[in-house]
This record gives sequence, structure tokens and C-alpha cells, in this order.
Amino acid sequence: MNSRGFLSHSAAVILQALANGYQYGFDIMDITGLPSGTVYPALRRLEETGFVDSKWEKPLIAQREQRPPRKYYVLTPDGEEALAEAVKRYRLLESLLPHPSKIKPTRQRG
Amino acid sequence: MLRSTPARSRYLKPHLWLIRAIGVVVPRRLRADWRQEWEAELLHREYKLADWERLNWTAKLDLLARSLGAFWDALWMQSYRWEDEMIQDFRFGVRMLLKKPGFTLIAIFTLALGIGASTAIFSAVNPILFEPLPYPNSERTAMMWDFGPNGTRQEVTFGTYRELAERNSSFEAIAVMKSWQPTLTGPAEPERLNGQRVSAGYLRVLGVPPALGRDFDSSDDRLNGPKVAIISEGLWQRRCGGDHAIINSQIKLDDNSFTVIGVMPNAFENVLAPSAEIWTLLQYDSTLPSLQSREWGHHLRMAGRLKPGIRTDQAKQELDLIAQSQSAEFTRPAWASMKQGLILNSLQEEVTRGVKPALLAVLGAVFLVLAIACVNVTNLLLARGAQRRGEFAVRAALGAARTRMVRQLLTESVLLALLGGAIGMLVAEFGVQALVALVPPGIPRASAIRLDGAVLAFAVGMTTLVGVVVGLVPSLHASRSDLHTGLQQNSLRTAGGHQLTRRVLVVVEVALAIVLLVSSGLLLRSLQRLFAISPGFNASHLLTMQVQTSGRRFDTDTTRRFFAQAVEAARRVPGVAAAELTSQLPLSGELDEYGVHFEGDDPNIGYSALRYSVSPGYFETMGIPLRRGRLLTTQDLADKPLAVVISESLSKHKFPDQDPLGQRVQLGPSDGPLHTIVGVVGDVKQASLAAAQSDAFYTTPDQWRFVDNVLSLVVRARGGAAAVTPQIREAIWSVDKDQPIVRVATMDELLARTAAERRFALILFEAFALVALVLAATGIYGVLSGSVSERTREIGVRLALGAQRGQVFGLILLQGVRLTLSGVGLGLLAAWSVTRFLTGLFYGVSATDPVIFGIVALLLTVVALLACYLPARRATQVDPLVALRHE
Repeated sequence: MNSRGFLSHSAAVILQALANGYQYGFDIMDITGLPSGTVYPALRRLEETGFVDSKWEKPLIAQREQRPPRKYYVLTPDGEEALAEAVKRYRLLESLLPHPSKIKPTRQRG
Repeated sequence: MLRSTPARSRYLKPHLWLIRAIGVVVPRRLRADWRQEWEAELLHREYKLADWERLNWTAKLDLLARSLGAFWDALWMQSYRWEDEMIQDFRFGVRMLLKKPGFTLIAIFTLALGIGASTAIFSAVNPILFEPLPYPNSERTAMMWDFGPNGTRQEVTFGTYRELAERNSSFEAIAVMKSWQPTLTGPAEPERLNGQRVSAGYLRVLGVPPALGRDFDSSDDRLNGPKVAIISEGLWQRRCGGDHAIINSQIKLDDNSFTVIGVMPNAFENVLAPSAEIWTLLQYDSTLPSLQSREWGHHLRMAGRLKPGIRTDQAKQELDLIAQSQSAEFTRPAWASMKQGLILNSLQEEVTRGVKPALLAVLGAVFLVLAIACVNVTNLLLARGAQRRGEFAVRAALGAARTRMVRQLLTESVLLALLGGAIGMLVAEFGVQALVALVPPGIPRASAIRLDGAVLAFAVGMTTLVGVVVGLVPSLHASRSDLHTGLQQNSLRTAGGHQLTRRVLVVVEVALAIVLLVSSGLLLRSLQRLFAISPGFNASHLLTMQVQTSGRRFDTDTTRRFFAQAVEAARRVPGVAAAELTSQLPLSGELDEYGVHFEGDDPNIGYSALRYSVSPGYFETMGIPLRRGRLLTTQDLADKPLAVVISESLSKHKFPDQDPLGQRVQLGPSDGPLHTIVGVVGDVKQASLAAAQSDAFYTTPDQWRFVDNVLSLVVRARGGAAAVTPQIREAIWSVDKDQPIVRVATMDELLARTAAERRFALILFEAFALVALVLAATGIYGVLSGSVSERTREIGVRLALGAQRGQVFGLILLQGVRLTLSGVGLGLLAAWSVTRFLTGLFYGVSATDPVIFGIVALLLTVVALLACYLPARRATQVDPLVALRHE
């Protein structure tokens, strides 16, 4: 499937983080330990490749916190496929990050 | 989506401030979203942690570090900026070009012409001059020559080759060769082949072994050695259908059986004899039995392959050393003493020697055309730029950066060049076809002329370069123009600065055109001069062909009988006025020279003269005039006193104040009999019309000591010479149907062929000069026409103030004349300094011939005046009222 070449390690980790339910840039930074200068460009690239989609959260939540709405990222079907491929390559990927069932979903989306 | 600003920004928050600052570099289109994403993220984090005041330093530093990371994010987004703007530039460029289709088409076709012509010429010149020869390590191949009388180069003798092959240590392999034209007989019809007799190392010198079978074995290269042959892939396919059983099978060449031992690869290109299809061994006697034998004749070409790491100059030094130190083991006759050393050149140099000046000249000419095309398009773009000043002023006022506008204009010019380049490739394709048809036979590697990768790369590089060059000046101009005046620039006022540039460009264009015109004028004059030279005989209505006898069944007598019967049969053909035979045909490329030694001269002094064995009526048939004494007659038979007729130039050289008649002379080897001079005839051009060598002697075939088995038939026809060809062929074949007849040509064709290279250069120069003339004229027209448009108001004022229409006409015309004359002056100077490099192509005309320079200057001035006429006339038709209302 992956005609766009293998994913870099950091991109694979980010995809895995998204799959595990971490959908905001800062949350991904927290869980993966990657710096913002890596996470954001990688997200843009993944979005450009079509592995990731981005949406704005509903304004209601933002109003409560008196801030602008945040942008969150979700895996596309292509992205899921790419991740499955990457898991075959980086065998430890799945065990690297906490599984979504073990953590409380932190935020609800709008 | 919401674009709210942070509400809780009462405090100085460095991370938010950073995002604001970094956001500046994010492309404008994406900036708001980008900022919102980062701010929302940071603020959310803050909200989760606690109030800002209560945050500890670690948390604050973490936020700061995260916002610093935004810088990399912003940097990454720069790629969008370029992409965006490039697409914008591109789309806008296309729109602008479509808006002015006339301008666009002219610019594209001008560039197509320039790029196409230079690509076509490059495709011809590249394989010949710049690509290495198609052999492995071809830089190690070289050719060697002996020094002839007066320091000319001369082919080597077998004796010299043998000594050098034994004594040198610089060469890996060394070989000698001569041409060979055997007749292949067998089940299919007889065919005369072009081939080479070579010494065993020949293919090792070139570095190409046979694809099938084996190479020559040096042990076979001896007198009476086994008869073996290597054939070309083409011959193998044509005659044997590519059957692998050909190896070790027998073929019949000149009635002798040869064993085929190898087939050369398909890609093998034999630059030393491009038409050769078959090779056999030289098989000379390496014991060098006598100084009179063929082993000591100067008739072999010699080539060698240097050992790795040996340079040409090192090899040359060694050869000179060998030449100076004669060894007792190797005797040398006086004519092969190597006293002056040897000439050593790389094979590449040798192959391109004759054609390099012509090709470089043509390449130079085509670049001039390209330059003129570029200047022309630059001028067009400048004119466009002038019309678009308002547009650029508006863009500048709206905040467009200067670089952005330069980029916009460069995009447009590169776009033009790309379109021009694409059409140029079509032009090049046709150009290459025309070139291949036009290429004179002497051009080496003509088969390699094609559009290949290198040519394509050249075209693409050229196109891009042209696009940038053409667009640079106009875009700098346009972007520099003053904003204020630009905004007012909907009127048609004068625009001093860029008009000056345009004028300078037109002057340059005219100057370049002059250089091309002068060069082609000089070439044309050379060709006229060349054809004004008399070849020494009457060439009209003459048909020529080579007839030969081949095979064992021909001995001296049967050969003589065959030729006598053949010429008799040819004479009987209706429409034939006369038919005679000669051993070598003038202007056919043959050059058969013999040493001539007059009775009573010092044995070390000799002349070299062209040798003709001719049937008695030859002089009358050819129209060669008798100067003194008598011509050869049917009475000059083998058993009669030996007679010889010499040429006027030989007579003048040897007997400036004496009567040559009755003098005796030895022809060829020094052991030969003496011939008595019975007559003197006019000089004939043998090698070419431009050649100086005219010393010659004529004998009858009966009185010549050897028998020629290749003779040329010359036929004077009553009507068209070419028309009788089939009947003559039939007549000869009625004598013996197996004898090949080749090189059929009228004398007029041979005459034209001798000037083929000059003609080739001339045709190209003429074409380029014509294009240059047209482009220069349109350039002048364009500038003047633009100038008239821009001066409409001024002209209106002048007319309103009472200027006569004639005065206005003169005003514009004068402007054009000034431009033209400046260009002509500059061009004449440039031509004066450039044409001297073309001297090798000229004949009988000085590189600074004042007549040609004058004519060209006049021609261009006249054409330029015609180009000025239309704009000047338009100026006189300006209506003062309309012009003044223009503002």
C-alpha cells in the first residue's frame, strides 16, 4: 500500500500516538517525548501525505477556557494502513506508548 | 472558525509573544490558522496547569521551549510560500502572454528559431568535435606520419612501420593500413566491397575485438600467409543473413578463397575508413627483400595505441629518439630515413583535422543567431515592460516586493523560452535531417549526428539560460521604474531610460548581423572564386566511372584486352562522342604520385608528380590543351620508344629556360627505363580546385611498366552526360558481366564535390545571415515603432506648432539611421576582427575584403531604411488634436 516510502521513526511514533487517542500536538509531545519542533512539522507532512486529517474543536469548549479553539488530528484510513505497515517494521512501536484503554480519555471532542 | 485573541493576556507571556513574532514568517495565507493553533495549544496547557502567576518556573520554561519549537514549524511551512507564489507567477504569466498573442507568438518563434538552429548545429558538432571517439580509452589512440618533401606529412613505408614496431616501448599496439576494394563473388551477384588491408594489430589499436570469432593473429601476417578476413556486422547480415556458421567458412574475393575468422560488432565505428566492411591482413614481406619493393613505398597509414600512463608528447620524444639513432639491424633508404623525425597526433585530432575550422565557424555563427534572437526578444519584452509600467507601479504601491516583480517577469520570460525551446526541438529535428542530407562526404562520424541525450541536455540548458538572459534586463528595468511616474503612466510619454537600453540592444543586434553577413559574403566570394578556376579541362558533358578487373583469370594481357574492348563498346553507344581511359580521374579523390628523375640530375634530387596512364585520345576527349610537341598516339606501343607527355607546371619547374622536348626522364622506381618527353600539355587540377599540385606526367598504358587493374572511363556525350549511363554500363557488361562498375558521376558532380565543405559552410552561413538580417530589421522596426507611439504627444505638439509632415518623417527616419549606422560601424569593426579566424575557409579573398564589407554595410543600411519607413510614415499621420487629447 505504502507507495510513499517508509515512515520515519518519529512519524511512526506520532501515528501510533494518534491511534492511541492522543489527538492534540501538545499531548503527542507529552506522550512521545518529542520536541514541538519535531512533532508539528511531522504532523504537517503527515497531513500533506494524507495519513492524517485535522479539524478544529467546537468553540463551546474553547469559550469555557477563554481561549481560541484547538486543532486536533485524526488518522485517516490511509494513515491506519501506514501505521499497520510501520508496526511490522518497528516491532516495539505498539508497546512503546500507553494503550488508550489504560488511560482515561482526557478530552472530549466537540 | 474563531479567531479570538487570548483574553487573559494581562501579563507578559513570552511564549505567546514568541508565537506572534514567529508567525510573521509563516506564509500569509496560512498565518491566522497557524497562530490560532499554537496559541490555543499554549493557552490550554496554561489553563490546565494553573493561573499564570502561580506557575512555577519549570512550567513556564516548558511553555517557552514549546513555543520556540514553533519556529521549526514555521520554517517548514516556507515551502508552501514558494509553491504558492510560483503557481501564482506562472498563472499570471500565462494570462499575460495570452493577452498579447501577437507578441507572444513572435517571441516564441524567434526563440524557437534560435534554440532550434543552435541545437541542430550542436547535434552535428558534438559527436565530431567534442565527444571522444567510440573506442575504449580513445585518448590513447594516435596516428603517425612521415615527413615528406617540404615538411608536408606523408604516409609511412612498411619498413618504417616494422622498425618502429620493433623498437618502440610507448605503444601497446601499432598498425598500418591501406584501402582495399575486393570484389565479392558467390551465389549472389558480384559486389565490390570497401575494405582495408591492415597489419595484425589494427583492431587492438582501436580496442574493439570482433563480436564473433577471433581477431587477426600476428603469425598469419606474413608473405603468403593464410587468407583470412573479418567482416562487418552489416555485410554479415546482408550477405549471410546473420548466420553464425559464417565463422571459418570460405568466401570468394577476387577469385581467391578467404576464411572468415570474425564478425565485428554492430556498434563498431571505423573512423579510419568509415565505409569499410571487410578487413584482411596486409601480409607484406617483413624481410624487406629490396629497396625497390612495395615494402618501401610511402603508402601506408599508421596508427597506434599508447600504453596506459604514456602521454602523446612522451611517445613523440621516443619516436624522435628512434628516428635519430639508426640501428644497424634496420636499414633505411634515403626516402624513408626519418631524418626529420615523425609526426604524431591523437586520432581524435586526425579525424577532425580537416573539418574543425568549418564546424567551429558554423557553431560560432549559430550562436550569433541565437544571440540576435535573444536580443530581439529582450527588446520585445522591454517594449512590453514599457506598456506594463502602470501595472507594476500599482503592484509596487500595493506592497509587492521588487524581487517578487523580478521573479514574475523572469517566470514569464522562462515560460516564453520553454515554449520556444519546445518548438525549437521540432526545428532541431528538421534541422538535423537537413544537416544529414547536406553534410559533405568528408565529414567524419556523420552517422553519429542525431538528437541524443547530450543534445537534449544542451537544448534544455540553453532554453533555461535564454529565458533568464532574455528576461533579466527587462525585469530589472520594470521593477526599478519610479512608482510615482509609473502611476501616471497611462499616457504615452517618452520613457528615457528603457528607450536607451532598447537602442543599445538594436545597435548590438545590427552589429551581430553585420558579422554574419560579412562572413557569409566572404564565403560566397570564395566559392565564386573557386568555381572561376579552370580545372584544366572542359567539364561539361563528361561522364566518368571506374571500371576494374578482378580475379585470377586476369593477367596482363587479358586485363589490357578487357579494357580495350570495354572502351570500344562504350564508343559504340549512341550519343557518345568519345570515350577514353585514365588511371586516375581528376577531382575524384585519387592521388597517385610517383617520383620523377630527370636524366643527368643528382640522384638525390627528384620531383614528385601525378602519374596518369591514359589511352591516346584522352587529351582531346577531356579538352586538355597541347602546349608543345605532340600528344600520345596509338603508335606509342610497348615495343616502340618510350614516350611521355608532361604538364606545363612540371616543364616550368624543371626547364624554365630550356626546351623540354627530347629530354629523358625516369618515372617511378630508380631502376626503371628512361622515357623521352614528346609533348607538354596544360595543367589539370587533380586533388581539388584549390590544390596547387599540378606537376604531372602521362604515358600510354602499354608503355607503363605496371598494369592497372582499375581504370576510369571518361565519356564525352553529345547530350546530357548522365542520360547515357545505363547504355554504357550495358556495353561494358556485354564484354564481361562480372566486372564491377563503380563511382559513376558526371564531371560536373565531381567538380561540385570538391567544394562541398565550403558549400556546406556557405549554405549554413547564408541561412543564418538571412535570419540575422530579418531579425535585425524587425528589431529596428520594433524600436522605432515603439518610439513613435511613445512620442505621439511630442509629435502632435510639433505638428501643432507648425512642423511640416516631411520634417517629422525626417526626424523619425534620422533616429533609425543613427541606430543603423552605429550598428553597422560597430559590426564592421567586429567583423574585421572576427573574420580572420575563418581564413581557412576562404579562397582567393582577403578576410577583410573591402568590397564585401562595403556591400554588406550597404545592404543592411538599405534593409534598415525600409524597416524605418513604416514607423516614420505613421508618425506623419499623427493627428495633432488626437495626440494632444491623449493625456
